[in-house]
Amino acid sequence: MSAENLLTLKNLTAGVGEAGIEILHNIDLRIGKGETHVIMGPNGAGKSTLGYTIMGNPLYEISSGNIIFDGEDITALTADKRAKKGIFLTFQSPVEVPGLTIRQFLRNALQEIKGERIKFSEFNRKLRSVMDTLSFAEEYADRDINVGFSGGERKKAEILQLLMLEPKLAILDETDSGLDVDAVKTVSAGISEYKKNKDGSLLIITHNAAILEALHVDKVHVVVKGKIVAEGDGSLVEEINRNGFERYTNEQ
Amino acid sequence: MNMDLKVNISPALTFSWMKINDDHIKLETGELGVLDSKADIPEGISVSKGDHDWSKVKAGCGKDVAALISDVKGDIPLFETAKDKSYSKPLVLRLKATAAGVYKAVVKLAPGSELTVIEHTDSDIPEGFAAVSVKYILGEGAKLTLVKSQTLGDKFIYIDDMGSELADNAVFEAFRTDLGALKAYQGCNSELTGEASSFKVLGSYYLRGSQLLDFNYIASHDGKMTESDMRFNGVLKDESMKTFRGTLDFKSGCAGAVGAEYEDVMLLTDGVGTRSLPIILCGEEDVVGEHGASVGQIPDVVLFYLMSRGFSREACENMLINSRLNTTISKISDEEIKKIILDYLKNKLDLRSIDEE
Ligand SMILES: Nc1ncnc2c1ncn2[C@@H]1O[C@H](COP(=O)(O)OP(=O)(O)O)[C@@H](O)[C@H]1O
Ligand SMILES: [Mg+2]
Repeated sequence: MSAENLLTLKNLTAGVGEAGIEILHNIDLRIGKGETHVIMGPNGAGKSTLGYTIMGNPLYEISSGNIIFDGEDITALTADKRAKKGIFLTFQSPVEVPGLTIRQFLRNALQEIKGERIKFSEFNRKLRSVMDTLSFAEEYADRDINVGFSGGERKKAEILQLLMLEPKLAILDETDSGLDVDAVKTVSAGISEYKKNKDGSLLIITHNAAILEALHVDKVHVVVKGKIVAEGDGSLVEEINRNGFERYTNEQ
Repeated sequence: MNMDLKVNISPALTFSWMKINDDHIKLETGELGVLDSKADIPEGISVSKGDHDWSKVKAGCGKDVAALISDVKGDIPLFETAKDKSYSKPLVLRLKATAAGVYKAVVKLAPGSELTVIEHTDSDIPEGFAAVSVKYILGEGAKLTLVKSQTLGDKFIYIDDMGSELADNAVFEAFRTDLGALKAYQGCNSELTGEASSFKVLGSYYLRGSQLLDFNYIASHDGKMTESDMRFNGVLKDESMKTFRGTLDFKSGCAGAVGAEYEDVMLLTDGVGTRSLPIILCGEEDVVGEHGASVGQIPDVVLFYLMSRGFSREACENMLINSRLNTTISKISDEEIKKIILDYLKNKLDLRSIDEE
């Protein structure tokens, strides 16, 4: 655990400001560069809210605490600025944009993030290779983003974006849920590719051990009712899959 | 010349309290002349006089506009395809508006023929009046793709009074991009007379400042198993105003007909106005007609999704406007016209193309 800090949540409390609902309570979390962390917890525990809050969804308001990323306090930054600093979140239900192809969308996103023009030839080469990794037929690049995609294709398209945008921290929110065995394999291959090339950090929200098989998990955090109630190494995943969350929910 | 025209009259006058059954255009223009036009005519298309056919086909703006346009002197060209011939090159109509001008034409597709028509209207001057009325007659099994665009000067009044008649199994697919003019009135009447004939239109527009777009689309289903589909994707900003009337008119005897009309309107500011009057008239029982509308600001989830991928709020708007317009601009296969449109987006609307190298 000596890796240099990438993300630090300091005593973070957040909720839906408008509704006056507090969802996350006093969360402390530290992710080092190159580390893989896993968030587990029962439905409604606040896992997605945690992902959204780190990404900067304006729906969720931080009432106290701070988010430090790569040495900088980003608590007040909007999502686009956070993305530019290297945070990425996969969505459980990605949005459809008719009239905008994956190719156009990703090239423009990459230009926004890198802050420079990217040549078509260079971009297309990279896109082709990443699509290959994810066994995406190349014609998908010219389809409108997420329009008419199946559930599995949407998840794969999110991983495609992850591999193209190369963030420093990728938060995967149940990217593996609802996928068949083959699709889980493809998504896992994508995640391994991300780890291999970029030494990036991962925060994986999942109920499923399969997606973690090929990865070295540095730390597992168990979230129940908006609090981190237990932490441990990778073996905690097995333990929870055997015994469920009962032990932790009862303590609450 | 002073005129008070009743324009875009909806076939059902049940909603008069909404004050959107028709609109009035008050005009003070000089004598109406003929628009400057240039046509690129593919080999194998004959050109003759089309006055008779032009008068025969009913358009969408109503009788006031029809009379106004009709009264303007000048030959009406009739472009006619050869039977069963499929044209790889499009018929391109380049219309340049003058201070006060009208353009009339007829495009007639012989049975079994296939043609793409590209029509673009713009102006070198900022202000004026332009009326365009092209009528399309499709023979049995003919296939027509129409790609229309308009980037008139900021203070223009524009009327587009379109009409079409479709014989058995004829297929008419139209794409239109509307960007210019201060006030634009589109009327479009499609007579689905032949069995299993089909009319589809996809339109996109982006209105700013005090622009107004008023459109009236009528799909008149006479034939059995006829099909219509009318979709419009728009963006409204500032104090701009849009009125949409769409009518699916299922006439008695059109058993098995299917029609749909959809509107998707993105509102960028609070000051905009949007009115809709979708109508389904059922003179026949065995039909399926549907309409749907999505009108509103960019949904928060969409905005957050795009922002999480690095786009600022402004860049998101830019991209969403572009993507909407792109659904129709992408159909323009004439490089010269496409460049006019993209330059207009870039220079006038400050919309950076998403395909820029
Ligand atoms: N926008 C919202 N408005 C009201 N309640 C919300 C909102 N978002 C999340 N919640 C509530 O916060 C809790 C945590 O939700 P979520 O983070 O989605 O849980 P998880 O991802 O762990 O299943 C749930 O009780 C949920 O109903
Ligand atoms: Mg969740």
